[in-house]
Amino acid sequence: MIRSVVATPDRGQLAARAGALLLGAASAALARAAVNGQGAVSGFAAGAAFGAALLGLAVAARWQVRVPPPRALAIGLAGGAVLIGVPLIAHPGLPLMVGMRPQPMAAWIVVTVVVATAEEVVFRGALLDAVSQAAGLPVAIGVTSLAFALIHVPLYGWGVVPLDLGVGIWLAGLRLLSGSVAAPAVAHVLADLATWWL
Amino acid sequence: MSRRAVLILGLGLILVTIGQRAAPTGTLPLYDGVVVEDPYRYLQPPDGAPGHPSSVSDSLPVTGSGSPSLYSATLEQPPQAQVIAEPGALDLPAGTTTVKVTIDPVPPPDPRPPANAAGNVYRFAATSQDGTPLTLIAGTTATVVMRAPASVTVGSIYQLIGDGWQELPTSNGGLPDLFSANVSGFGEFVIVASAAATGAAATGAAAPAASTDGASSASATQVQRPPILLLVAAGLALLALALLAVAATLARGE
Repeated sequence: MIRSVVATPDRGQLAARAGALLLGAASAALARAAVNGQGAVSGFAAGAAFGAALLGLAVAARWQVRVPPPRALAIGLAGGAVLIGVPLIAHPGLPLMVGMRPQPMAAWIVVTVVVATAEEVVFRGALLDAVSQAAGLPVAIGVTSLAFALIHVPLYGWGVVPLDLGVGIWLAGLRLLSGSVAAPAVAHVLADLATWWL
Repeated sequence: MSRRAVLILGLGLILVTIGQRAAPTGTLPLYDGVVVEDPYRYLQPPDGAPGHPSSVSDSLPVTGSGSPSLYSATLEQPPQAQVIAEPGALDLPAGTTTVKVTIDPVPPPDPRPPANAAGNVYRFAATSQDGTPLTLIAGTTATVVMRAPASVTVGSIYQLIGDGWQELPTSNGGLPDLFSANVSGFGEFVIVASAAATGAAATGAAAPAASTDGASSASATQVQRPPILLLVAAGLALLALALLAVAATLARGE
């Protein structure tokens, strides 16, 4: 789906790139939270702009779109099913707490897909690669998962941090297992879309 | 299959499971793209604020020996008041065939809610088909989830117990202005904004935080979002600076 362009930057350049990506993602997340007001139009606009900003960061980091391998899509589907299944198993018989059905549904789907995919391209793609090459895989998974959790705090509160930290690590595992950002992107999109019905 | 990837997946799955189990009820596994919140609806709206908050009345058939799973919510987006209970949580008198759950915004009862009350007082009730009040079985709880007016992100749910309002242990409910508490009985509940987090910076454009007395008290309890944004910005900036420091160190050494 999306792969980094093969290049030979040194570790310092990679770390600098990672820092710049992180600052860019943080700025986008904070701007999104600041402008996200009340009502569907505001929510859609803030979400779409946030997704576009992240995709812009990915382009700046020299990522390019490639057709995802079928295996990665299959791993993504399975990974998404797990993310959906865990809360259902953890709380059997209980409906989820926050029913969110913003209208129109089609617009919500489009924005949700864009944002989830853009987050994966940046966090499990460009940023994971850059930090991994600069400081090693464990540090990369820690940094990307922590950043992933933090960017959700302005919209969802601190209570989201433990869960999204685990989700970030899970999505990083999908990336490593499949070798493609397509797997965590598919899983993330599925988990987000499932909230309409859960 | 990469052994390392499997280990990372295992760690992630464990943390996701712990995160879900730690939540008082199920929380969204992820939710991105659009966060839509309707303006808060007041029972007694101050000038310019929307009124007509919704009520809900759900009738749930009793099909087994215990009470059914309860989930009732008002109609706002997201709901301004919800109640959730596991199957068997209610003490059902013999002959109970239906559990009726109601959630209604009500005028503030006596004694008055605390001064920093944010939003409507809601009355939660469960009755049998003939109107007999139903109670929770001793040792079980239901979860009450309430939404505060915009920008109120620090506070607690209070319950009217006896002749006073008592603060309940309150958790985040999935969004910054959603609050949840496990309760051992039904009745009247209200969100009270934290006094330490309130300020007098409200403007005419800001949503009034308290309207339970029917008067506009917009200047009383505005909890602003910048603190949470600043903390998150600080955390992310520290991560970025650490990476940039690594970059600088490496650049010097190469």
